[in-house]
Amino acid sequence: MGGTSVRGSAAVHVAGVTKRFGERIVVDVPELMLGRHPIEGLIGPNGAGKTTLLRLLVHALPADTGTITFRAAAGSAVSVSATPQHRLARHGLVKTNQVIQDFASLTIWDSLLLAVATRRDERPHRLFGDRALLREHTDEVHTYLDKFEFADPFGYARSGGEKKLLDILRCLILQPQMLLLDEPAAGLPADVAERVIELIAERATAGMAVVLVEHDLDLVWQFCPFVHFMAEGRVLLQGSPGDVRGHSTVVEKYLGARRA
Amino acid sequence: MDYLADSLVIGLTEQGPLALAAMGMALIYYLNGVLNIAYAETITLGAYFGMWANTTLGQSFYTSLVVSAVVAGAISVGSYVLVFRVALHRHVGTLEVIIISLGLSVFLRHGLQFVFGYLARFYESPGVASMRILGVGVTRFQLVAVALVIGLGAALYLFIERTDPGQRIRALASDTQLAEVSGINPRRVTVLIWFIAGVAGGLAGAFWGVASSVQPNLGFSRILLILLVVVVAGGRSASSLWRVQAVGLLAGVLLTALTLRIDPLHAQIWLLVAFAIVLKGRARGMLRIGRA
Amino acid sequence: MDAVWDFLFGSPAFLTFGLYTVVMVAGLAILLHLQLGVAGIGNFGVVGIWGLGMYSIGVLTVNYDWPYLAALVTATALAGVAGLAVGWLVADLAADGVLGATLAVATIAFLIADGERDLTGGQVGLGTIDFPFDVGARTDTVWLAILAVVVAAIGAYAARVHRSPYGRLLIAIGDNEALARSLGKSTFATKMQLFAITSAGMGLLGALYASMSHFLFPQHIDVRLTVAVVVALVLGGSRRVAGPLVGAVLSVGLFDVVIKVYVKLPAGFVEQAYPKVQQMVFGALLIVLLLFRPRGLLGDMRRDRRAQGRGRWAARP
Repeated sequence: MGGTSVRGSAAVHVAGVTKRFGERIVVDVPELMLGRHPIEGLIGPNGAGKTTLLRLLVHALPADTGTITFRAAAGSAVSVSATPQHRLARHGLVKTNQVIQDFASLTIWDSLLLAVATRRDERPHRLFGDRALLREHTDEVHTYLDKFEFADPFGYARSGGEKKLLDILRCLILQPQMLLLDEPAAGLPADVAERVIELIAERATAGMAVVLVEHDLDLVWQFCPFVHFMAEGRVLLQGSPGDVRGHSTVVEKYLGARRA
Repeated sequence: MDYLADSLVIGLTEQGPLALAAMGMALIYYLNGVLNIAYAETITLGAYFGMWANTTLGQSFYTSLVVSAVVAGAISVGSYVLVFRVALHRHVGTLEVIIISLGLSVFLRHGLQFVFGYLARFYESPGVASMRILGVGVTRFQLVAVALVIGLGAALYLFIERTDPGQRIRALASDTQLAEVSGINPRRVTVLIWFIAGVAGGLAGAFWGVASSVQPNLGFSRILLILLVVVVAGGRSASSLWRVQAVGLLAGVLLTALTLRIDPLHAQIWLLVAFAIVLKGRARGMLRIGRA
Repeated sequence: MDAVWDFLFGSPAFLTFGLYTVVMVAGLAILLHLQLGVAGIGNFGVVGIWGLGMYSIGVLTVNYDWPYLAALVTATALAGVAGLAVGWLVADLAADGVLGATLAVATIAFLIADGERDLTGGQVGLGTIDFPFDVGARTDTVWLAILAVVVAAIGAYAARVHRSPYGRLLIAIGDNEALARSLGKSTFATKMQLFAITSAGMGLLGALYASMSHFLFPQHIDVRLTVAVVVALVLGGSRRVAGPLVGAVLSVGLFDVVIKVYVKLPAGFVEQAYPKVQQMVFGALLIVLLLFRPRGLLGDMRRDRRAQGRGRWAARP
């Protein structure tokens, strides 16, 4: 998991992937390439399969058919179905959570230190490991805490919004090569959401590939040079924001019920 | 061939109650997600009260079976109302409920000794006439036991899976709110299930008790095996009483087969190891499924 | 001085043994705290690994005449290896599987102790395991002091773990294992490792007990000990290191030290009914505590960690 990398780096290739829940086909993607642009948006109505697709990509869920390949910046390809989720995260493929997930016993500060710690730091005999850990990373953690205000950074995340924000920051502090964001703006106050996406855009420019699932289309049109539109488990349309938002299928299946 | 026949017949007659007890425990597990170690004491107390009806009240074994069933059912309901329902109301975690059930088991197991004493006690079973099945001598008792085990097991399975009340119970297990909306009274149904589970345990205890002796750890010494049958037969998402009964009968036959070859202690060890392997094999298959 | 000594250790057999049990249970409970209270592994087979350590040192010293220290180290190592195997078995199982597997471990330990008569003597017992040194009548007490040092070391280790990145990872695993995995943590390997280390500790405590008991019987491996350890953990609080100590003192300490030594009970009662009453109280305690005060007497772990966050490293220069 390196820091910044050269553009044209991490990418995910999906081939022939399907997933069913019982009788229902939830995801059906014969061919998809993610990561060719710094930030790519993934939009679509509820139930389109966006979250499920993201979960398949990080192997939080096994695909029924097909292959998913993750290529990190260093070039070696990794088969997602042969690699458990935690190892994919170490290769640099990380996903935030749509539904709020938290460590109830860890403070905000602790949570971030947890994310930043490496395997070597976490060995059972490193009883004084925090000294080195703090020495190396205190400043880094403080950078995040300065940018985003928590009511009590040495205490616990209080609201759902704080937990959501913490979830995103934990993923960012991992310095992933490719970050999949599942509705990051949902549950965050508008100004915080905007600052989060701005930070993510900065990192994307610096080399982190981003896939952004969002219902807040203003954010999508503003930040994503490339957008995928998904409905009923399939990727129906891909293109620039201009292409996508004007397309009749999109308008009919999605935008018609929302403001464009 | 003899070995197979021996294992089969002895396995079913001696270990048949295992399948019945496992089904009872599974009922509670599937409905409420509770792994109740104290179910062992339902079994034990069913045996004690049946023995008491048989010896002190002079009832026949078959009449005492009814006593076993009803008392064990009542104790099961009692433990639900006084302990487990409180736990479920207060959203006590899975691990903590298991510890609570361990506490209840310990409490009952030692408490009963103040009533019944700590020495082994015995049913007064009349002289046993034995028949030969597949070349193995079995008593009429044992045949009745097997018949009852399989019959009750089948009846239970059919009731839960194939009847309307059974369907309501299954609905309740999978989604309480939805079940309520469709007019099911969760409290009454839950009490019914705990009662039925208790009945199954009490009968199992009675059969075990009459075949050997009635001791304070009659249930507890067998609860590990019962638990493993339930766990191996599948978790709540794969709930099937038929599978529990099948695994229970199979485990009984397997244990007997092993005991006939090697001594009882080592047979038990190998059986436990076999369970561990199956458990691990299933877990590995599900390892890929994450949750985040 | 002698008068005080006589008062404190007047009935040396009962008192020293009672205190020994309290300290040992506290040690086991601290280790269980790491497994169950922190990492969320519901180990109900504590007595199994403890028994393995106890019988290992017994077999090595009695059957094979090994020198004490070598036998002690080996017994501890064997327990650690067993812990590694059990950890591998249970680290990806749900609570029901862990319950079944760990209970099975304890049962297998008993069955081996009972069945392998050539090795362990079975019901006849295994002995005599002596203390590795002899200072006369006070040897018992010195052994108790040694145990106290060992348990203090275990407690210190556990306390340090809480303040290390390793401990943070364990807590995260106990809170939300799936989330920890999504951050790249090898939760399976970590749990397995933790189980190995804590099992070695439990085996060590079992091995030390062998000398105190001098004679080993399969009946030593009884769920009674697991219950006592769980009670100590639940009573004192399963989320903080000091909890098990408080819990052990208030439960085992009360029954095995205070009442047994200082309260005059009729002899017949002590023999038969007292142990059963003790078990009933323990059982009731588990039920009542977990229903109404699950955090135990010392409460939540969360309060501990809040203070840590304000350390000097956390402040900006």
